Parts: sequence; C-alpha cells; structure tokens
Amino acid sequence: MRTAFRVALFAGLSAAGTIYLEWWAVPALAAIWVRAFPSARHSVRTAAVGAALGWGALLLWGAAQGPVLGLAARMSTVLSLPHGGFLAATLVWPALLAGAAALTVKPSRG
Amino acid sequence: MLIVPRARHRTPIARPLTAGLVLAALLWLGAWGAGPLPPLGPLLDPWRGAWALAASAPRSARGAIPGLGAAVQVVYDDRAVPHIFAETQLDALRALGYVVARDRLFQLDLQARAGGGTLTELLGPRALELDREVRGLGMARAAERLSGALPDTGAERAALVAYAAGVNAYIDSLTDRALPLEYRLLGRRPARWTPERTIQVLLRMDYVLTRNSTELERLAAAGAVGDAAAAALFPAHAPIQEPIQPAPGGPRRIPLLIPPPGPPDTLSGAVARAFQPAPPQELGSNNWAVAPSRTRAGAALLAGDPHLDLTLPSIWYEAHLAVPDGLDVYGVTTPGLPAILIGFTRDVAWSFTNVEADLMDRWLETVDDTLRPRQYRLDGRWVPLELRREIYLGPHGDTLAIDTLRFTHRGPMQRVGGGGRWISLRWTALEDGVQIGTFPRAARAHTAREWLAAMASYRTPPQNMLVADRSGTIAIRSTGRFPIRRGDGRGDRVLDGSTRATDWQGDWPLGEEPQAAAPAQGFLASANQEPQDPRDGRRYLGSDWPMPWRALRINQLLRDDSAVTPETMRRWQTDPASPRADLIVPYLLAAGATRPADTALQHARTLLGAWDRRYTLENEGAVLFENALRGVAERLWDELPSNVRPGSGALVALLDDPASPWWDDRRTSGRREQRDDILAEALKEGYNEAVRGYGQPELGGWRWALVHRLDLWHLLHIAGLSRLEIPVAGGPSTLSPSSVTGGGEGASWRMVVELGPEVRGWGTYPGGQSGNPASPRYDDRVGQWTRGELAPLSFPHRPADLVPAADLLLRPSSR
Repeated sequence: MRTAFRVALFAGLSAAGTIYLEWWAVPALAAIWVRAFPSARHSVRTAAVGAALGWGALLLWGAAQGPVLGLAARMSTVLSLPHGGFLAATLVWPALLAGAAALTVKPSRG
Repeated sequence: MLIVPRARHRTPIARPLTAGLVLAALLWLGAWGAGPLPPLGPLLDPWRGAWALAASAPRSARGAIPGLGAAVQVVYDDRAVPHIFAETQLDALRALGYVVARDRLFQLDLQARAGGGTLTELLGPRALELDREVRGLGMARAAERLSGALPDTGAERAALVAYAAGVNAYIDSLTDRALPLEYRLLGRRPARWTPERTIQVLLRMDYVLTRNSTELERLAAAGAVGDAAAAALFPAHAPIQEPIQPAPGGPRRIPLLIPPPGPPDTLSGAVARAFQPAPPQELGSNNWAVAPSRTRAGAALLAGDPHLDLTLPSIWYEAHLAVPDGLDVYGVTTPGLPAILIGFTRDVAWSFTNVEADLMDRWLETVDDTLRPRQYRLDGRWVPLELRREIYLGPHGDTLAIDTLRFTHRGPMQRVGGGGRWISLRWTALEDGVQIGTFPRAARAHTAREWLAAMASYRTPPQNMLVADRSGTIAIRSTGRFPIRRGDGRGDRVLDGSTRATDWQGDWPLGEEPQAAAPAQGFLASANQEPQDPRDGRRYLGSDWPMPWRALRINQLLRDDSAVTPETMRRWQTDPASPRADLIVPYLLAAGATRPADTALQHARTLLGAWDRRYTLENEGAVLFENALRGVAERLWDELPSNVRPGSGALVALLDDPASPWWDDRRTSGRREQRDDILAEALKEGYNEAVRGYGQPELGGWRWALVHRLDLWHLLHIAGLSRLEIPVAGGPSTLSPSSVTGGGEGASWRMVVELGPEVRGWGTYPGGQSGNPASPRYDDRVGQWTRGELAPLSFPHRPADLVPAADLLLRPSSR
C-alpha cells in the first residue's frame, strides 16, 4: 500500500514537474527522490513506474482535449515506428529517464 | 535459448557508472536528438510536446497585434474559414497575417525560404542545391533590391509591413504547446516575418509559373538535332488554334512542317545542360465565364481552377476580408501574401490562368577571364561585373558553402559547359516583384471593366485574368509585363550579349495585350493556350504553347449549352473527356489494322476501339492509350535527350506526315519505319506492358482507379504527414488534368460563382485550412475534392450573419 502511494506521489510530482518545468524535470525529480528517501524500498522502480504513470496521466488529460489517438498513429508513421509505437515511446521514455537518474545517484549499500 | 549468467559480484561503482552513462545518452537524445532523430524530450513531452498539437483550438480566443487601429473581429465558419471584420484595410491585413500564421506558420516560413534560397538554415545541407539554384537565378538579390526599393510611405510597403506585424504578433504569442510539428521534428523555431519575405514568396510563385522550362527543352533539342528542327518541334504557334481571345470560325489547324534532324548546335546544348530543364508536369489551369444570356438563372457565372503542385497543406488558404470603406472580398490567398488573389466580392468575381509567355531570355557574354571574370564586353568596351558573395548557412549558423555570383546589367551570369562560355539571364520576375497592392484595389471595383482597370499595373507572373460582374459583363485580358525584343522578336534563342542592340526594347502597351469583353458568343474561357490567333500578327509573346486540348473541350461544352447552371459548371471542372484521345486514337486504330495477323495487336485494337475516351475512375482503356503514347514518344523522339519531350503539337503535326524521317526508330538497323509501323508497335507493346503490369484485361486490373493515383505530399515529403495513392478521375489534357502516373499536380482550388442579385460562391481545395497534421482540418476536404464536389461558401455581411464555429478577437497591443 505504501509503495502504491509512493508511486502515485512520484507520478504526481513528475506530471507537475513536466508542466511547470519541462521534460528534464523527470530525471531531476527522480534523482532528488532517491536522495530524499535513501532507505525506501524499490525507490528506483518507484521513480520509473511513477514517471511513466505521470506522463500517462497527462496523456489522458490530453485525450479529453482532442484526437490524441489519431496523432499517435500519425507520429508513429512519421518516426517509422510500429502502430502505437509513439504512445509506447512516450511512456517508456520517462521511465528510462527516471530509472537511470535514480540508479545513478542512489546511495550504495556496500 | 541463450542464457546470460547474472553478475553476482558487481563492483559498487559499476552500476551507477553504467546508469550514469545511460542517463547521459538519454539526456543527449532528449536535448539534441541523433542523426535523423529529432530531440526526443520536447517531442515526447505530453504537456508541451507533439501531443499538445492534438488539443483542439479554443472556441473563443484573443490576441494582440501592435499597430492595430481598432479591435478586429475574426469569426470562423464551419469550414474553418476566417471572416475578418476590421475598421481599415491595414488592420484587415494585420489580422490576415495573424490568422494565416496561426494556421500555416511552418508553410509561411518554408515558402519564403524556398524563394530566398535559405532552406539550408532550416533543413541543412540536403537543401543546398535548391538554394544554389534559387540564388544563382538572382532571386535572393532581387528580393533584397525590390524590398529596398519600396517607397517608405507607399501603400505597397504599408500593406507588407502590416501583414508582417500580424505574423510576428502570432509568433511572439506562440507557446511551446502550439509550436508546429515540423519545427519539433527539425529542432528549429520559426523565423520572424519581414516585407522582404513576402517578396520571396512572390518570387517563388514566379519561379513556379514563369521559369521557362520548354525554352530549355528547345535549346537541349537544338543541341541534339539543330536549331531548325528544334524550332519546329517547339513551335511558336500551336498547330491547333483555339485562342483565348475569341477568333471567328472556331478551332482551326495551321500547318507545321518539321524538318529532319540536323547537325547539333553545341552552344544551345551547353546552355540547356547548365540550366537543366525541369521535369515535365501536368500544370495548367482553367477559367471560364458565361454571360447571363446563356445561363438558366439569367445571371453571369464564373468558374476557375488553377492547377499547381498539390501539397499538404495546400498552397491556398481561404479567407474573407470585410472593411466598411468598400473592401468586402472572399477567396483564396497564398500564405505569405497580404491579398485575396482569386475570389469574389458583392459585385465581381475573377479567376486566373497562367500566361505561358516567354519572360526569360539568355545572352552569350564575352568576358575578360573565362574562369573568374570581372568584366564583360558591351558595345566595344569592358564593363565591370557586379560581384556578390552568397553564403549558405546551416541550421546552427555554420557556413556550408560560399558562391560568388556575377551580374551583368541584364541579370545573373552563369558559366556553361567546359569551354568557359558565360550566359547571362534576364527575367521579368527579378525586376517586377511587388504588385500585391493591385488586388485590394481591384477588389473595390463594382464592374468587370473597373476591375480590369485596377489590375492594369499588374506585372508578374502574367495571368489570363477573367472577370464577371453582377450587371452581366464578362471580360478577359492576358495581363502582365511582356517584353518587346528586337529583330524577329523571339526570345527562345541565345542572344548576342556583346551589344545593347539585342536588349529588350520595352514592354507591350496595355492596349495590345490579348483581351475581350462582352463577346457576342456569350462566353469566355482560357486554359493556358496561346492567347491570340497568330493571324492577328502581333508581337512574339512566347513559344511552345500547350496544345489547346482543355480549351477545345471547355468551348465545346460552352457552345453546346445555352442554359448553364452553377451545377453544370461544377460538373465540367472534372469532365473526363479528352479531345487529345479523340484525335489520336483513330490513328492508332488505323495503324493496328495494317497487321491483322498479329493477335496481341488485334486484342489491343479491340480494347482501344471500345474505349469511350473518357478518363473516368472505372474506364479500362486509358491505361492502354497512355502506354501506347509513351511507346510512340520513346520511338519517335529517340534522336533527342531523354529529358526532352516535345509537346503533343509536334506529334499531331507528324501524324499527318507518315513518311517523315522522325518516325524511323534508330534502334532498328537496316529498316526505316514509317508512322503506322511505329504506332502499331507502340500499341502492341502498350498492351503487353499493361498485361505485365495489371494482368489480363478481363480481370479488372486495368481500371483507371487502380493504376492512376494522386499523391498529396507534405511540404517536407514526410510520408506519415501526406495523403498518398488517392484514386482520381482525369488524365493528361482533360479538364482536371493529371499526369499518367498520377503524381502530385492538379486543380489546387476549384471555385464557381453566380453573380445574381446576391452573389453565391462554391469552392474547395485538396487539403484543409489547418497546417497542423493533428487537426481534423488538416485534410478534411480531400474526399470532397476527389469526388469533384464543392462546398457552399459563407459570405456574411456582418459577424452576426454567421453561426460561428470559433472566434478570435484581436486587439491593439502597445509593444
């Protein structure tokens, strides 16, 4: 339960960071997150999953504003990705950024 | 399955180091991209990245423009057309700049760069050759000079400055969320607009419409078969005459004798190689008007459909400008130009076709140094050349190339061939770039004659301007600047540059321009054909006029119908009949009959004979006819370079000369073919080719809809942003022409206007008002255009007359 809460919290943080700063806020927040909660379990995974969920939430909000799926299909073609590739890339990208940033600065246990 | 053992003893530093490297790579990709991959961060960002483009435009928006005299109300109708209600004309133009930028910002930028030779700054080295061509033609220099020459207090500059203020106000208000997709993919930002950029767009139009490619083809032909044969292959007058200015007696044939191939003219060949003819396109526009005496409702009717390269977004943008002092005009503008170019008002309607006049001449210059000349010989003395350095910059400001251009008093000079010969070029476009102010002046006219008078100062690109008014007058004039030459007056040969005696001697006076008003026949039409019958004996206007196939068809339809309606006009715009096929098919059938024992040929003959000669979607004969014609061209023109193909006028002339040496196929030694040998062989081979490509004819694979497709390419040629492989009716030389393979040319805007008590208009173009590929307005009209349908055009007197789909209020800003 606590993990789910932490994931949701990081999702909210990464969504807000993206809105008020830019995409690079996601790795910055992930780095701060693991430093702020050094003893938390699965902090790297929490950051990665939370970042993907945060961007996913922003996409859901965008879907209410206009034809997001049409755009996703067009962008997948433009970037020579398989159908749905652009959508997948948008969810995987923040997870990679957050995960890599968290792993980089996570204090070593040894 | 390969099983990788998990590392059990990793050093404490290894994991963060690896993660750090991955993070660094991700951040690099996010910020700068890699190779063709754009920066991923700003692209994938769901808040302000590409995703934000899917958000629908707000139903009600506000904006601010510096210099506005009063608030401007913009009401969008259900076709996303902005109706701009302003207090002054300049305010209307400011608002036009704003709304065009709002919908088509990337297109604006790209078109100006294409006309100014700065594409590399946006697209990098891949655009270098295009930029070099444009600057080599002197277009960048001309834009600078024409912009600098505009009087500071003149109406022309005021219009350009007002439009630029509107575009820049939108750019200044542009949020990251609204940045057009193309900029995101390229990792760039839009450049600010200036009056000079509008001139670059105008020059780009000249480049498309007046760069005389057939003259280069003629020179290339002279380089292969000599000047006499080339002159006949690209004749000064079309062998079938159906001129724009009505001539008594209807269409007539004039004899054209094509002499046998002669010795090559090396200078002509070298010039043609230096300037490379553009690939042939099925460009060509139609317009026609009918007087009230021949319409069912008793009101004048006008139709127009300019044919150009079709792209997404379209070259046209629909808009309505309304100003209380008498400007109330609806029609299409080209992004970058502060004017409605084709359209209608409450009293008049007009449309254009291009005058295929000769506006570009070349001179062989004598220079002091064949490699790096600094002077040229003129009337017995050395005259210094103007030298100009052209620096081509990359997207990051890096220098990609530097060229030194040379200019004589005529224009830019280029070295041709390996022998150190230099050719200078004079082109009206480089001297007459800005007459955009004529359009709003003409839009205030109340009659066709007033409209033509207002357009009298229009110079380039020359247009066959057709106009009709509410009182029932219809009129046409081939309007523009047409140079007068010395000697035989022709401009399609390389001239002696060492003397001013060969220079242009002035321009045609307005009164001599081909024209007609209120003709007795009750209709007028143009389709880019020769404007006047050569029997009229006027000056040289150009050469190699397109055969008047479309004009023949339009005039036939107009002669046969004395109760024309807007609906008939609409239907005619996509009429699939082909006078070209009507003339040529009987020759192919007759040639086929000379070999009754040839089974394949007799199959082909049967199929071709059954064809109704209409390029409908369902027809199965057009593919055979076009295959056969291509085979004829390959065999007939085998003496010429492969990129040189005389028009159908030369073919028509040779069809009546069955023993001409041109019919001989040089690939067959010891045998001299005649016309019917070539026609029969081409028909048979065309049949075999169709069977190989599309199967046996009875299987249904020869349907035109399956073999003839149109491509609407995005401006950057990105397939994912294009609409490709669209089945369309029409073919070469039909009223809605397109090349055999389909390609990407066609009717870029179709309009029908009825000038009754209340003016009514219908129109469409292939594309949509928005340049945003995520918008439903990006390509929402393609289906309508493909089906040949038109939409009724809203022309409200005041904002309250319209049920707005969206609105925009523009206020003055202090900045």
